[in-house]
Amino acid sequence: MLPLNQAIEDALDSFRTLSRRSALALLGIVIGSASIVAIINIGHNAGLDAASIFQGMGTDTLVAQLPDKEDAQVSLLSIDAAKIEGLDLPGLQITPTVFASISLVFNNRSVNARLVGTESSLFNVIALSLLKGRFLHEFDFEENVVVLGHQVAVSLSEGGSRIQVGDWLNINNYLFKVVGILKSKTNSMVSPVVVDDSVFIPLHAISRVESQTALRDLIVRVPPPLNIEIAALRLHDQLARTFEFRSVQIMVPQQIIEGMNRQNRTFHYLLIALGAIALVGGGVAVMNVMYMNVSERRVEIGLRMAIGARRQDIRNLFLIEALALSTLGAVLGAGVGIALAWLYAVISGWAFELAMLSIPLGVLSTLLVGVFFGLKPAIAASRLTPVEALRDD
Amino acid sequence: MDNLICISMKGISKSYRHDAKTLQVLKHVNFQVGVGETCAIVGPSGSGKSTLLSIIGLLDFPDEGDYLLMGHSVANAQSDELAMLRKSEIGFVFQHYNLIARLSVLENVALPLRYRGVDRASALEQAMQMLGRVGMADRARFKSADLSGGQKQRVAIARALIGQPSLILADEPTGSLDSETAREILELLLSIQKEQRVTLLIVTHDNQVAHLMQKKIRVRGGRVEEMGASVL
Repeated sequence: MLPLNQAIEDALDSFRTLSRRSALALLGIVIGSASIVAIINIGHNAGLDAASIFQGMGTDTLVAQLPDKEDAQVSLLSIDAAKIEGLDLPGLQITPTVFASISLVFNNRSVNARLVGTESSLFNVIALSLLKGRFLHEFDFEENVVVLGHQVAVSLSEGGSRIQVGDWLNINNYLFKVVGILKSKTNSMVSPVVVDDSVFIPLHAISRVESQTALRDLIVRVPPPLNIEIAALRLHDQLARTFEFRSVQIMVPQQIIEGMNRQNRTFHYLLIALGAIALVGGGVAVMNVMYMNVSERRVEIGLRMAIGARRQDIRNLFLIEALALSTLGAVLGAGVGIALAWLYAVISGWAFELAMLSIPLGVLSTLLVGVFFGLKPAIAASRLTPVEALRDD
Repeated sequence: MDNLICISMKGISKSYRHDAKTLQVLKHVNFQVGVGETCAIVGPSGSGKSTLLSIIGLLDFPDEGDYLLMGHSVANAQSDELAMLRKSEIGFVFQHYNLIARLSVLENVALPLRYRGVDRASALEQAMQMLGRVGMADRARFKSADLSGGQKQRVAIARALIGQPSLILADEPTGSLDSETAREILELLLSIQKEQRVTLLIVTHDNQVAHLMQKKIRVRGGRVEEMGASVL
């Protein structure tokens, strides 16, 4: 029997002189392999991008919204806040939050911003971080102090002098002392707080600058070992009883993340199926090329048999050629796939991260397809009798 | 002449089925060729001489009869065993040379040694020596497409001889060559045959070629009609 190294050398001898048809089959394999690798990487990076939307909004956090029912009476913020304090939900960190749109004035420069009336606990609940100064403190209660979101601070500083901790800011004709400036933070899809474009003041100070305010959002942290879904049910139950003129909507980010993950997985499977179809197309091209190869090289097969090649030597010769074609296609395809995925990420504005599994998966699946589709022509070649093969002159 | 028998055929028959008809190509063929003999198989086109050569060369199977090659009974041999015998006992020279176009002359000649498990470097070295014997060493790196018909047949002879077979089977080896080149190729074959004491069996329709052989077998209508020494 032909030793394996000689079988490989022989197969590579014929592979070296790639015909145009082989080049087309190679192209099919490259496209298939590139599709698999690109799709896995695009899916991976899409997943990372989706996950980044929830950054800072941990899986232990949920958001309750209390929109007014129709014909509801306007409720007072202080009464609502007292009701929240009276809820019997041990262990849950509830941060009431009130929003208003306002205009800020600093150094005769006016900037529009979202005003957030809240409590000190918000800092940990939505994972804020400070650039300068401090965040709201529970002792601030209804003091005129303000913490600036990053973009608001930048906008207020564009007029000339940079706004600093200790400066005074005019909010609806009330002066507020800047006690802190926050670092920039990516928006979370489920959080009602747009950190960079907001200014934060104590919950009870908001009535001073905005009379028509009502408590409609609660950001709630459910520390372990409490179960977030049970906590959401209990919260809903108590809020519905306490605020009978309000609707109660609870958003559980964890459920949304799981939903998105499920959606991502479905998307992923769809893309992999598309890649697999491309790969099978490449495999069929390999099979066709190998069949044509066998047909064109019948005399060579006969000659090899005449000089002592066994059936398995002939089968291995063509199988190794198919494998060599697939290996080259798989490696080139992996490179092309990574480049395409990177390009897609750049165009989509994502940060690109290589999915490490994509390379072995793409290359191995391509090799398997190459062997699978190369096997039948190789077996057909080995089943020729020497006299049949040599007669085909 | 050596008393050992290289080829012994008894009652060999072969038929093919074609369009629901059975065509009997060989009918109870009996003959022997001794070791070191030269023998011509002659006959008109379609007489069955190529089929006979294929059976002698273990490329095809007889339907019935006994065939001994160098004392080995091959009638019931399996595919791998036949491949082993072809590799060790037989060298083929074809009318159309059957060189592999993408390989160099040197690689073509080395190919039989590869199937014997000889490593590439050693096979190429031996092939170069063999090309020297057929006067083709200076064309070793050429591709077969760059050679003339006579040169291709010299390379084919080198390929047939490199495995030191006991039997050379040549199917119309001069059929595609002009008369001058044909004469040179025959001289080369016969000189190497004498030198190596190898059995040479040539299928030819050319009586002049047949007359150069020690023995002549005429095949007509699938039967061996005449056997005997040629007039040299």
